[in-house]
Amino acid sequence: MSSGSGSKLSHVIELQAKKQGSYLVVFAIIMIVVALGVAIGFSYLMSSPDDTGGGMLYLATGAPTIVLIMTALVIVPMQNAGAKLTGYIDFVKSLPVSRKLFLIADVGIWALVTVPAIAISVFVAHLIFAPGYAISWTIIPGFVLMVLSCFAIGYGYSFVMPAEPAMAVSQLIAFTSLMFSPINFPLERLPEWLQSVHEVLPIYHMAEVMRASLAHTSFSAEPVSYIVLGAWTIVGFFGAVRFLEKA
Amino acid sequence: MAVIELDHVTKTYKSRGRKTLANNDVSLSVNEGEVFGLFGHNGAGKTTIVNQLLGLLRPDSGSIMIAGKDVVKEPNLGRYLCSVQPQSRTPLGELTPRAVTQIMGKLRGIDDAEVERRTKELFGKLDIEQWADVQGNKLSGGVLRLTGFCMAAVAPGRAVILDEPTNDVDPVRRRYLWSAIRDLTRDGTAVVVVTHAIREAESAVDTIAILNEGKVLVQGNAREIKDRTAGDQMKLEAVAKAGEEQFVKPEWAESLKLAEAELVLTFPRDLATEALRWAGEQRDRGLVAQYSLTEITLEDMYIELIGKAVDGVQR
Repeated sequence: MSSGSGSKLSHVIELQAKKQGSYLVVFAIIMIVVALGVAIGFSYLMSSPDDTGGGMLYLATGAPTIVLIMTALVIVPMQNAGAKLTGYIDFVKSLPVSRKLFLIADVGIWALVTVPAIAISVFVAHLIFAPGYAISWTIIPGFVLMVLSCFAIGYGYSFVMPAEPAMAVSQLIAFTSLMFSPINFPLERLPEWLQSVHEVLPIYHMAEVMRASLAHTSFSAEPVSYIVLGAWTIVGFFGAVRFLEKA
Repeated sequence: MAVIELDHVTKTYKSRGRKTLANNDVSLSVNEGEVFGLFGHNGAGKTTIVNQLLGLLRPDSGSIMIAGKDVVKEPNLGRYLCSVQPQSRTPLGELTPRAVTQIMGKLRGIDDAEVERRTKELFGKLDIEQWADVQGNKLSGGVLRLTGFCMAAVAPGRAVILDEPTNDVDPVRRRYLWSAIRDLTRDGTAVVVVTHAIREAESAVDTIAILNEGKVLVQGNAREIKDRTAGDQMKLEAVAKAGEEQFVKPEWAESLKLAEAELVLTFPRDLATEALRWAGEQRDRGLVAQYSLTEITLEDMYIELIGKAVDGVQR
């Protein structure tokens, strides 16, 4: 592992970026719209924008999490399932490089796609509602951890599962994460059994870490959130790498 | 020297409790600098062999060596030692032929100037320069297939594996392609061509193996196999305008078959003039339309061998 694998990584990034090309740009724009939609559009659902329960801050800090979940747990798994069906994954596996490079390159590209949406939605929400952002330095490690855990799970399940069920799961995640996950509202509003489910699943913890990073004066994340995300990261990447390395 | 050696390779697929024997005790050997034709019907086990070479599948038993390296023990080595033409359905998205060919060259570690030179040379040779900068999702099947060839050929490993390289390719460029395939062997690279287009591969391959239902039916030098099985035979092919009962096998012919309005007679080469005279008579009597005398091809031999194998199974 020397400069050789570094330049190989750059070629794999070139391969993946050029293959998807303008689609990545279109997708980055769609994600900006989605993020603004969550931050601004959902505010109409609330009785009054200056809702004292901190509702606006929930939406404004939930939007970036929705962007990551939509990208890493819905769109990318759909892509991967399609890539499996068309034989593109087999092509990637037959390239003369370490197959982990493909994972690193692809995660890097898709993580970059989410950055404009997250930055713009936070900025715009701040201008319109000034919901009380207080950005902490933990946003950097927090963002890295969220990106890693999100993509680890997305790649993990879409590689390990057969293509068709993986596509179905991605749709299920899209729906339930928007409606039944404590991203845009406090966990306590959910029925107790669903609360316990979310203690184990990563989505709630992602939202917690994102909130603590974006508004550390109003929210804090328990250490357990970081641990749960770390565990999902390891399980997800382990599954994805195992699938790629399998002969 | 053998670049690729498969020794008693067996591979079974298990799916929903059903077992399919994809490779049944396959032993093959591909030498340096030769074009090796791997022939067989759909489902004969050709792609399974390729995927095992690349480390995408692991055999149940048997050994696979590439350039002296055991790729069953080290499945990651296969794809570094062999360069492969991607399956035709592999989507290139917005990658252009030039971009993807150059990336493949760089991934194999050749320097930028050499990558550029090789890419230009290959595109020129195959006459696809006009599509070099068109996005993959706008290209026709034939150009994609040729691009796939360039991806494998830009920086060949010890062996190049081509899967149905001529499908969808126009007749003129097919010839360019076969010539480019031959060029690859000049520095000792072994080329494995997986195909069922036997008629057209016949003149381009040195060695062949015919696979049927996972087993190797025959392998060896293409010319020798033909001489051995076809001997000194020729055939007369004619479009029949009458039913089978109207034709009587002439004395000089060794066999006469009529199937789907195609009449085929085989006979020893030195009786060709008799065969021609006979065909002329049949035409005058209105029993046949156009006719031709041809060599027995590898394809005739293949069909006969596969037919025998199928009969053998049925019996």
